[in-house]
Amino acid sequence: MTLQVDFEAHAGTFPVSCRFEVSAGRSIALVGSSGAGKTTVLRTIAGLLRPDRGRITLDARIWFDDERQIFAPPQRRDCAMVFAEYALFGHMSALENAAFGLRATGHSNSAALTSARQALEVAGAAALGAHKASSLSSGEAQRVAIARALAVAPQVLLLDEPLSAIDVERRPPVRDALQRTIAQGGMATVLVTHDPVEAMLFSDMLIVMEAGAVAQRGTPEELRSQPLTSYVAAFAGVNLFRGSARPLDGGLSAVDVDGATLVIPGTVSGRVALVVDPDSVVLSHARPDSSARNSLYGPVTGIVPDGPALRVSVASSPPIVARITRRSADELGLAGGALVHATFKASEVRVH
Amino acid sequence: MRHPSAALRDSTVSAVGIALAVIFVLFIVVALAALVLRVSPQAFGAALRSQIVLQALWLSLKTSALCALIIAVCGTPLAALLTRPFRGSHALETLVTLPVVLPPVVGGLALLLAFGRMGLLGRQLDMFGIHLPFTTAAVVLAQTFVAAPLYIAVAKSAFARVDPNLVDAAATLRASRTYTFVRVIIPPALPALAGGLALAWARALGEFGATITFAGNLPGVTQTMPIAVYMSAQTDLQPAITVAVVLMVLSYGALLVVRRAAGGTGLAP
Repeated sequence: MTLQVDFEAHAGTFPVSCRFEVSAGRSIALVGSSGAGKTTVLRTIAGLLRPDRGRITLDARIWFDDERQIFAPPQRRDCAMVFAEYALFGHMSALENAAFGLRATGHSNSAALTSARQALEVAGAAALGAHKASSLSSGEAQRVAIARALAVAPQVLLLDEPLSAIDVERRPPVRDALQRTIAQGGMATVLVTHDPVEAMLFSDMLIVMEAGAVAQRGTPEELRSQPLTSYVAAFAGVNLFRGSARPLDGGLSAVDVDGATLVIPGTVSGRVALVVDPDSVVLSHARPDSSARNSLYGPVTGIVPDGPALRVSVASSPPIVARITRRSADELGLAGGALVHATFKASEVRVH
Repeated sequence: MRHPSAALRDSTVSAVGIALAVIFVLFIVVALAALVLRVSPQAFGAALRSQIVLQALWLSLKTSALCALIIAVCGTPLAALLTRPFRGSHALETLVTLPVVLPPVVGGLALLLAFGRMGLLGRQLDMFGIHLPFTTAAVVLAQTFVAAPLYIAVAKSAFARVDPNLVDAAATLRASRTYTFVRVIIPPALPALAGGLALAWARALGEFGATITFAGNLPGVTQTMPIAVYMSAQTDLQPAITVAVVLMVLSYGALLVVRRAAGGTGLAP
């Protein structure tokens, strides 16, 4: 099962166009700053907005086709959405909110409540079932909104900033549970977020939107090493490493990532995601004799211009991208294949 | 730097304002007090047991309740319809609101010319054996004509305040429009709807002009409380005062309901 999206719409004053496909159990992340048209894409897929041109299909089912004048209303699309503003029904309890979709489609009350309870459990909101939705905090409301969408077991899941209101420390379990459910339930998922790190943690396929159009699409790796626009470079061009952390002495922790052990500030344990800005990575031929704790070694595989600077991809283990000035590139005599050390301080690592 | 006389002027204005407000309140209080002070407990009790008063009271409660039911059933979907703009929605809304500013007598005359024996639809109604004028049904129609716009206006603004995201969320959860209306749109609007209905009910209870024109003045059939007050005021004041006081108390209660229901919504009349 594959969701295929290709359309042009007018939302308010500017046109929005988007084209991608996502298959069952997989997810795609739409990233971009606010006003880039991301939410318009979700609303169009959900059927809340009728685009001007294009086609939206789920296998043989046509949700929209301008040439054949087909427009399926939201009720006829097997699709659930988590709204950025949660859009919970304030007069109902969290459980009733989660049961709404199944009750509305004529399922028995007990079946609806059972699915609703399971969905609340998945979203980490099992304890909130009896609470009135209007009394929930924004983080709690967001969990219930996730549960409400999951409870109907949709084939297509649309997530608009689904974790934004949940505390950063509490996000990983919710994100994990969401990803597990998506994989197990075979839901084709589209995530919208303004946070590129969140997007990379959630999905291995990113679409960067800029002013209503797709600026670039690709894996985080591709966006980082070969950004097509300065916007993509600035927005999505960060290094991201994932691994498990264990505390060290002196207020530091070690993180075993794929092929190396990195040192990070703070005492942390468990699974973490590390973000290193390419600007804070220093390249050198000789192993640096500095206070920087983290050093990777490998051949240069790509040098692409990025504004006044250059983005240098190093095929170390794990691979990393550095953003250096043209002058220091000249001084190093950088060329493809040259072996370099890529170094960054523990204090330059942001931990997610 | 404030001009020295500014403070003086402010206090003068507020003193004048307070004086005007007090005069206005006294105007209302004196009128209502005059009514209440003229009631003697014995006469009040006797009048309450008199057939003419009981009949009018019962008829008024019956017709205004039926009127409120009709308004709720037909006015609620209309109000919901009016929240979404469509071609001619402004014209339709103005038309529906018109009876509020029309003199009720004009409304009664219009009803008579539409549904009366010689009226626009009189012949057709006659074929089915339906004779509306000077019946209790005519009372209900006259009240509905005059009171419905009050409810529709309140209901419309209550529905307009419902977050459109909720409607969208319900649609993505595959709820039908009707299901969404009943389960998502109505519940948060319910206090305001109750307030609007109480307002319309109070207006129906006090309806006079349209009723007497379209339904006449038949004791027990079309003689509602306001008509009974008017008629008996011509001859014997005591029953008139009794009915008037009952009417006043009921209306005051209705307004309290409206205020409570509309608390914080800025809809209180």
